[in-house]
Amino acid sequence: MSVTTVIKKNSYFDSVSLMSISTKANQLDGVEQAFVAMATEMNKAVLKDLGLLTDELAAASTSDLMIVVVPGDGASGEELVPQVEELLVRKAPTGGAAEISHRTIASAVEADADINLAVIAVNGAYAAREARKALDSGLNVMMFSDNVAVEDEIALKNLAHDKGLLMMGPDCGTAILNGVALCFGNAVRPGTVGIVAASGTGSQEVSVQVHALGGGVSQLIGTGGRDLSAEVGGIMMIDGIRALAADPGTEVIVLVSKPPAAETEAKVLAEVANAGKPVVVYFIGGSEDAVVAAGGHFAASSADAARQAVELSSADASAPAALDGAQVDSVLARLTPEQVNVRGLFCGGTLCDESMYALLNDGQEVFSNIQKNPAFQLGAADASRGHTFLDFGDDEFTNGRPHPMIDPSNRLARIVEEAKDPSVAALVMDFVLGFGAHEDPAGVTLPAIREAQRIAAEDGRHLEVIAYVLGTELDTPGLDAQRAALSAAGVTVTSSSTVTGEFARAIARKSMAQKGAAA
Amino acid sequence: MIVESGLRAARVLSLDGELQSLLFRLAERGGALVVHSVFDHALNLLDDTGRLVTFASTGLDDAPWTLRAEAPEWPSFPLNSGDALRVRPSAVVLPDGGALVEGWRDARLWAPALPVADDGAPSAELLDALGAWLAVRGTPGGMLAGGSADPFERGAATLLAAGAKALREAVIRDSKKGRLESSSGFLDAAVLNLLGLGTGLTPSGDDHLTGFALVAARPGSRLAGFGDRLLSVLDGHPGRTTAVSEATLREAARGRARQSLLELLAGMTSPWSGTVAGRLGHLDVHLVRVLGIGRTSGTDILSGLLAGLRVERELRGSV
Repeated sequence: MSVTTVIKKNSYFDSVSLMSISTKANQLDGVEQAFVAMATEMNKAVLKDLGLLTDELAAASTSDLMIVVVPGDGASGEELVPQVEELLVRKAPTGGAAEISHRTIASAVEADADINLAVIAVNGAYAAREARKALDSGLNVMMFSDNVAVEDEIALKNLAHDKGLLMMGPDCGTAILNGVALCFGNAVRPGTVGIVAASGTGSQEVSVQVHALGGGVSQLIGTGGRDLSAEVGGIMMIDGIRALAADPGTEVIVLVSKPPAAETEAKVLAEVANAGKPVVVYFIGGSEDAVVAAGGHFAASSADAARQAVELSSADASAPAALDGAQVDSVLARLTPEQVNVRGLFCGGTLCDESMYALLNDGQEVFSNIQKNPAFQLGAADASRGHTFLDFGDDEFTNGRPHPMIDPSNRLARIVEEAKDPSVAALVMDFVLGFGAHEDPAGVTLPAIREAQRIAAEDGRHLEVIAYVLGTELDTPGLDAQRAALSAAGVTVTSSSTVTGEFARAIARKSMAQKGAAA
Repeated sequence: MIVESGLRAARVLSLDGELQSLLFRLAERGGALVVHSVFDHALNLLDDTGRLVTFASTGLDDAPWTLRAEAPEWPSFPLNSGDALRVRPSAVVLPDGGALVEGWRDARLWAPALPVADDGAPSAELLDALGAWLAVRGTPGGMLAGGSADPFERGAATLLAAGAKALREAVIRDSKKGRLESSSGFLDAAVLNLLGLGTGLTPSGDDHLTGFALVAARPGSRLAGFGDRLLSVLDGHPGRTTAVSEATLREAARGRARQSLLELLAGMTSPWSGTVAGRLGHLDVHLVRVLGIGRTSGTDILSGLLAGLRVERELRGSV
């Protein structure tokens, strides 16, 4: 048996890379066996047992990397070893051509002239520089990174506008372009509804509700959460409206945002009249009169936005699910008189917003880390008070940690903590599916939910847990499996973000009724 | 501060208190750290005594002799093996004069908290359930490579299984004779047969020993003394494994390990009145996080933790 060996002096590769290289080396044509490992005494002992230990290998030290190639019949070890060394240089991950990695944007563009989009997810301190390189290379940009200076955002968006490119972000987590879902995007049916959104989970919610009603999505363009601020002035949303207006595959446009700055809202609405297509506007807390005056279709909720969009398109729409009053009554009947407060624990910011506004618009007082009213703002370390709605994706909770849609574990302790409060009637929470989201958000959370239910039961209370799973049956994991797992644990599963807010509002009204009775 | 290459210095988020003390000493005398190896998410550096320290990016957890910084991939900085990085009071500085990381004096300090052994011994049922979980969910390739088609992996797996068995038997034998701390040919040989065995930068045999050593390092453990034996073997046989792995082993022998491991061990050994299935459900987050370490390292470390806890349980039962 011929053996060809190479020693790389003082070479270090992480374990993931070494195993990947070893696997790929064994798949090279002409290779019978290939080994890539650090030259420790015990690894040399393994090679000795296999009859492959040469004098050169025996002399190698622990800090050296051993490359051992046993060629198959008719193959040459001298020709194969450079191919293995090339794997070391490239540190290529497993997979086909779609997974080729490039260290710079320039080298990627040079290697493939068909590339037209860069997704940038580096630390915010470096993101603007990389985005500028991409735009200068003629690429559209989706910037997942946050913590980018607003001055950089404005400059990048103006540069993209001048070049006729999209500058999605910073802090843009969701897009669906030409049928390809990026980052947190969901697997939805292709169709004729185009979405431009300054809200990640808001756009996810509208896209999955469009899907649930039988419609489909042509494009989903994210703008980044700051686009409709007074400073940025909606540069990307206006460019997005124009892009969808010019897109022959889009019949209806939906705009989604958390509450925008008034002057920016006016600029965006001015664009609605020129779109030449129906435009549904869902700005949380927005003005119906202003939207109607601009010729748009006002949506009061995310579900309403999806319903109108599907009805205005050529798709056959099914009826949206509504709040089940009997179910609400059943829950209320199980609560003690002291249980009056609702605690919302959300991964998705817009989902939190929508439920919180359902209570605020009902005249309720709501404490939150995303409250605009300083008197009702809570910090991450603050205990809940009254009705409390927390967005665990907000910066204060995510500092140094992954976003809760990627790792929902930072909400678990709070679920258990809230259960100890005898005033809590219900916990309301979301589970967000999508390509970049956690592989099993319900599974990770269920032990904490069971613990919360146990604590309440030991105290003689029923703790209602209301959950919304944002996703489709095409997502992995699928919507039905996640819903079933939650239902099996006694969790009430709702059909949309809007219905979730309505359910929370219905329970919260119990506190108002008691206040009224006391007065 | 902008380094000359145009990159912005990475802000330090947290660091091991012992590393901060080292940085203070180096800053006081104008000392430096020398680049050992550069990975996407970890930059390994050596001080003038040969101690290995790590600058990690935010995705990694707190760990001994580690500093976490809001860094992009470390290779994007102009860093080469052998470069000397000066330690200044405000920053660690690249050879070109720009700052690599800054804010190490004011960052959050981390200190490992190892659970005590008396907090609650895991039941035999739980250990069996965890073993079954590991067999299903663990990453094949190291301790779980028995059925691999790769001859090297298969050969290593045979030695790993034999080494783990020999380790267990030697520890039980020496413990029962009350001489775990003192030199024993059996135990030393068992450790040596695992040291450096496996392909990765922290070989699988070392990872198994790391898990075992961590269990033994808990105050009140029946395996007290194993850490000293491990250190003695490492001292007596330099160069048997990689520098990164040896540093990890030495810390584990002192009860110091990355935060995710400590949290898992605390979760496995804390009191629990519910079912084994419920316990597994509670541990799932921690288990999955540990499995994510390296390629097979998490699986191999977990196998060591379980082996240590099983031996400890066996020894408790023998008294």
